Amino acid sequence: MIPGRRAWCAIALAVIASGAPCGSAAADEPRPPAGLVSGEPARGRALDPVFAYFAFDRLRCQFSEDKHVALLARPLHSTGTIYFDRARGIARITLAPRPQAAVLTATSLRLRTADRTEEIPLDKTKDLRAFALIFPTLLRGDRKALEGAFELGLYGSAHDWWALALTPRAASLRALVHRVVVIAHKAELVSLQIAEASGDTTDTQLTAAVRDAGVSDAEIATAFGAP
Amino acid sequence: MTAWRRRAATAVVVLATAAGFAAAVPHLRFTTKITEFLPDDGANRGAQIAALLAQTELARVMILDLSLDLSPGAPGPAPDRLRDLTHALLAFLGDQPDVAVARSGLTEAEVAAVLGFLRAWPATTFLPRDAYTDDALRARLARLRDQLGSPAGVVVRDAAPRDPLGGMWQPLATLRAAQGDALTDDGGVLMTADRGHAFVFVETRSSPFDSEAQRRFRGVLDGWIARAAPQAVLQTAGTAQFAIASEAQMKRDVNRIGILSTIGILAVFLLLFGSIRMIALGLVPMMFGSAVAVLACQAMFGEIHGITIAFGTSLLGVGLDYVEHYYAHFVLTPTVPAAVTMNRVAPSLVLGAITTIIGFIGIAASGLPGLRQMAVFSMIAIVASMAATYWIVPPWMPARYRAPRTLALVDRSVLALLVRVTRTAWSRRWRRLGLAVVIVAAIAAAWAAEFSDNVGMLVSDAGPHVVEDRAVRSRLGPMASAFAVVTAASDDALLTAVGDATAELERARAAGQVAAFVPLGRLVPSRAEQLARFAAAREAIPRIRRIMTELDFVPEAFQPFWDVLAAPAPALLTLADLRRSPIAPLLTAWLPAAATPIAVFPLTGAADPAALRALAPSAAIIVPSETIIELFRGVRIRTVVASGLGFAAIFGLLLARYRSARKALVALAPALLACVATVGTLVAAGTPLTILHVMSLLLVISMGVDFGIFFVDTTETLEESARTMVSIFTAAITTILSFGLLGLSASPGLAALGITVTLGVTYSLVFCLVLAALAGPRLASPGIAP
Repeated sequence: MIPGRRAWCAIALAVIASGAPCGSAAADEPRPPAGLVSGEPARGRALDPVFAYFAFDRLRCQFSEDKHVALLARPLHSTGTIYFDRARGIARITLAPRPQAAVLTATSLRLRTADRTEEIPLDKTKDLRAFALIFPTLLRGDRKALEGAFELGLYGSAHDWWALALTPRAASLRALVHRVVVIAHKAELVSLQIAEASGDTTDTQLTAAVRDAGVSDAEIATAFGAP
Repeated sequence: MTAWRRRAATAVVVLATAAGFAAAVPHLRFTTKITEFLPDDGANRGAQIAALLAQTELARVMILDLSLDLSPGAPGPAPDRLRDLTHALLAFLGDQPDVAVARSGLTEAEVAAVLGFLRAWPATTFLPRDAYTDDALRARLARLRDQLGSPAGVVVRDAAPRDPLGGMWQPLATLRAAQGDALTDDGGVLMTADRGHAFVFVETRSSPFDSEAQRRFRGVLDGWIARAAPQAVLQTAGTAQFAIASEAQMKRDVNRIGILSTIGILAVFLLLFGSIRMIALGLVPMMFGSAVAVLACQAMFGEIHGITIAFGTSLLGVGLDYVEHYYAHFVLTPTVPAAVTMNRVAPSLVLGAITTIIGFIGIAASGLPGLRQMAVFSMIAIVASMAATYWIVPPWMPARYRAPRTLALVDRSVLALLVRVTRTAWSRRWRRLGLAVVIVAAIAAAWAAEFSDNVGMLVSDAGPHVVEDRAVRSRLGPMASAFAVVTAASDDALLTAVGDATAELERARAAGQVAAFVPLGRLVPSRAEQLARFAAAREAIPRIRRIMTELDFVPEAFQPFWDVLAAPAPALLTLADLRRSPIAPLLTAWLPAAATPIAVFPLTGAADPAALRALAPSAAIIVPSETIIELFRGVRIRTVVASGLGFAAIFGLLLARYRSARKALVALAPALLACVATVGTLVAAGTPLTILHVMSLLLVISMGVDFGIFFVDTTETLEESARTMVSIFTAAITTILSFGLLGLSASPGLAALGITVTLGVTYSLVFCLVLAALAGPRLASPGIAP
């Protein structure tokens, strides 16, 4: 299957949403303050401390996602585990409602279900490529690369609750996605929110994060499957 | 006419021909088309399809395979460098005036264009009718829901409101499956899965059979590689490479045969006739004959095949036979005026020429356009050489001539040999025994002979370009072993037939008769099928809504889909639409634009073509190797029949000439016996006989009969017989010099021809002596009867 530009961009959004570094906040931990994402965001040097948080080699966290799609009468809810490996990319292992593995590398998205495997190349648009690489770029703290495709704005304080809003610069991306917001408490990512141009929204809660040496080679190999 | 007038007249003719030839040379067109050696049997469907396939993009596209020398220390990862290099090559090719198309994978713009094109058609266009059963609808909608919840959901989100069942993705899934696992598209470059090789598909404006243009293009490519990427390795596959290799091979053959045979012939002439003037004069008929034949073939066929030139070069030795026979009689009786000697030998020469021409008529009847041209060339060359020998040579012969001692020595030796072998008078019993031995040998040879119709006419199977071609194609994935070919009178009829063939092939795949094929019917449904799909979708509207509600969809969110179904009729996709579309480059190999609408399904894993034919009657199942064998079997049978008729015609001609069945048989005997011995030798060497051997035997008969005629016509005295044997010996030597060298050709066809003719001519010479021996003391009598 060879998706088009808008589709490519959209898939990158979804994958990014599913692969963000996640915090260890449990359900009973404090939630971000109401009105965190409001007012005029800070820009420029104010973002430096946020990018200083990201320097992972590996990451594992649980996710719980609610996706509101206008085509469906009820939100789609899914849960599972996300793995990040600096060399390989992101693997999102969905356990419910149905098992599915989505592996995002720099060049493709591979989807495995019980009965089929599908590989979607990610190199067909510059926008898509830039978008698909947000997550590894964020983890590397490569702010310059992110700012090439998105306008970045920070809400809150990097030393407490904060939200990083990414607004696409290109019209082609803006036709697909309105905004991506990463919400965190200090160095712990808590959730990602994607607002699509169609009105659909995705809210992904991230918990039980384990970093770097806590994620074994065997886990990575299993999550990413064959190279 | 006085002597000087005859000389002046002949000089004018020769000079005019030379001038005409020189003027025509810049306008001569040469070709190396392999298709010229495919049978043009118009009644044979396989032949028709083979001819159609030869005109399609399948034959026109050249595949460039780039890889990198992975030496340590090279900058950057090899796949990235290879991808960048391929992009650079594509850009370079785009600037070349002779390049019509150069492509690899799909670029960003192409992907967008393809999706835009597919989105423009009703969602029902590409969705099969069986997608509208309750189960199929539930499965498709459940999958859409799963996709929307997955990271891939956004891929379908945009198209889902107007295409909830995923129709527009069907052609892409089909194309993706056709690409297979062996290849991957990396940044618009088609690469092997391990990214070790990158591929570019090139179609030049010049014909792939235009070897000069293709050689020039290859030079341009090699030049670019040398400049831009000296560490890169370029391999190629495609017809053009065969054209280049064939031309190079033919040039090598022509040069080798031309130079070596000319040197050899000059040496023989010098040794036996000892006259520079006669040597120069002796070359005139064959050069005259060749020039006339080239001009005539250019006028008749519009172009001359390289193999005709290669064969014609070797035919020069045959053209010399007439001069040699004349010379042998002239130099051994120098007191007889040249014109008188010519009048004496002329009947033999004419008869020999006619029998040779009859042999070539058999080749012309083979049904291969290339061989037909070769035969026409030869016949014209023989007639012209014969005419030149008769009319141009005598006036220029030396008035005073002293034969060299070598000729006298050869003549005396041959005479002594004849005296010796004819000393014994063989009884009728012994002759009958000899005849019986020949018959037994002929039967044994025929029984043991193994025929093969699997011939490589122009291309050596082990040639480097063949090996490279196979290596490149093997990297593109499993190679098609067969093709299902559908033809029709119109595009609409073709699409209907494609739909039928697709359904049949799917059943055949389910039955295990074919491993994989591209279901073209899914890509290009016929007009009737599109209407039926639209009707099926409309009929299913209430059920689609019900199942959508069951699966938590909001049916009203799919209004674009309902709007399309509410239209009185769908927009209908035609083959012309596809050929103008961004998707066209992906389909062109299977649905080539040709005068006759044609669709080609490459098939892999078709182990039992007969069973497949039974399961897929709508398509012609073509197994190229099998089809070629079948076609050449027909050619061989026709040639054998034509040979039989030609042989009967030669016998009839000899009978009319000699008015004696015995004499006619004796004249035929050397050729006949030589054929038996040649076949026996080939069989003993384990060589299967091909159509080329059969045709070569026709040549052996033609030339062997010449020897027989010369032999029969000059048996009044042993001395005269000895002179004839000298001429036969000389002719055999010059023929062997040319055809023997042809036997060294790298072209299997030319080599088979050369070896067979060389053997046959040698045996013809030997059997002339054997016949003389069998005639015994009665040889030198008008009523020769071995």
